[in-house]
Amino acid sequence: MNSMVVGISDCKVSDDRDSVLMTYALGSCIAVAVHDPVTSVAGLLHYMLPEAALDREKAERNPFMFADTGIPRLLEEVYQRGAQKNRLTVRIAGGAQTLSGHELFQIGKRNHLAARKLLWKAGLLVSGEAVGGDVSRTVRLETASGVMLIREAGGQAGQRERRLG
Amino acid sequence: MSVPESLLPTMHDVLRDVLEQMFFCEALPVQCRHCQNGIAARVRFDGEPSGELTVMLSRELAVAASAGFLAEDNEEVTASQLEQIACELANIICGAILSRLHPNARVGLSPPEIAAADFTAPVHQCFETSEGMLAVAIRMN
Amino acid sequence: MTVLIVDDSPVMRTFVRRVMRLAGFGDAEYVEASDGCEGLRHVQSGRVDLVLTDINMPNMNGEEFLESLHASDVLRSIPALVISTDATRDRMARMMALGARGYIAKPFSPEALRDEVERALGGGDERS
Repeated sequence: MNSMVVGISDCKVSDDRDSVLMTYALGSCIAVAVHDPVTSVAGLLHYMLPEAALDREKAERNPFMFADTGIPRLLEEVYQRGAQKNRLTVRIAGGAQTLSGHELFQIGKRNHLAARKLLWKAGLLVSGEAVGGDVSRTVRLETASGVMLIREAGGQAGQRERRLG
Repeated sequence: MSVPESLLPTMHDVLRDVLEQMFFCEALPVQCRHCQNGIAARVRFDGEPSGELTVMLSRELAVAASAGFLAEDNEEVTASQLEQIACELANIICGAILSRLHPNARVGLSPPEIAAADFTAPVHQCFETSEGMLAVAIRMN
Repeated sequence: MTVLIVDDSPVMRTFVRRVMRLAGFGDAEYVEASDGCEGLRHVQSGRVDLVLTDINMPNMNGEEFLESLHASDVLRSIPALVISTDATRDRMARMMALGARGYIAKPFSPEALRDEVERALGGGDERS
């Protein structure tokens, strides 16, 4: 099993049936996981902020930091590897509330709404979500099967693992 | 007719649900800050209760909300679509508030129409979104 | 497959059509009507396989429209779903009694409409 770790503001795509894409410590960030079951192409994006307009220079250096530059790139890359839009399964995780909470609009929710808006615009419906709350999440996506496991830790519920979508 | 105590909390819940589910934007109730350059739409309702509801949006929010709803870029939204979106927003907000407050009632809604802003209604709440301002005003008969 | 969308709001018809296309009904043909009268004319033309209808519309509202379908032995077999701001118990009960297979109250997310259509059609066997 080939483990590919997706860091913060990072994205990885694989068509290797032996690979597993993983990302850790999703707080207010969002992970977007896509999978084509016919070609076994999988992609996982982990972004921090909703809009590149917040920091154009950073977006130039790393488009995966923002939803509106990262999600189109993720989709472009999986389509280039042979995934087809009408077969794609899309799931999202993260968008938790942060402790700081000084801003009027919580970044976790802004990130979540940004993902939904961009995916709707890109012509994709979401088949599963694990979002919100006050938990930290880890995501594991299997390229061969498309199975997505979410581990949630912290908050009121303690720790739990579940399959999504 | 007296205003039910649950009207404002219901309005807050409805605004949150409408804007997040269909327009992908978060709305938080704030102290009133009226915008003069916006677009407004009104719906009348008849039955028990009866009255009218007006939704007022700043132009920036109207454009962003329309683009989100229609899956278009801001620049592609037409003036006609802005009016249709404002009307449909008024329709959905009014219908959802009435259905939640009075689930056993028979209330009819008139077709929504573009209208003048209403800043003096007895029930009035402003909301801030990351794209601009929105206000809801309700007059009960 | 031909899907009829009946709603007096053009932007709402656009939203519903987009959801349906993305939900696996991309190959279907779509026809639209802005009130129950126009909807009835489309249905009577014999080409409609699925109806998605609003309730509050001028000329003929969605309840009157479904009454007309329900009154016909042929037309009542066309699956119909209601998409409306009216979520009062009485109205929902009347629409289901008139043969509506599904009912979704506005506001709804695109995914919620997809799920309700799938549930009402029993898993999407009717998709072309």
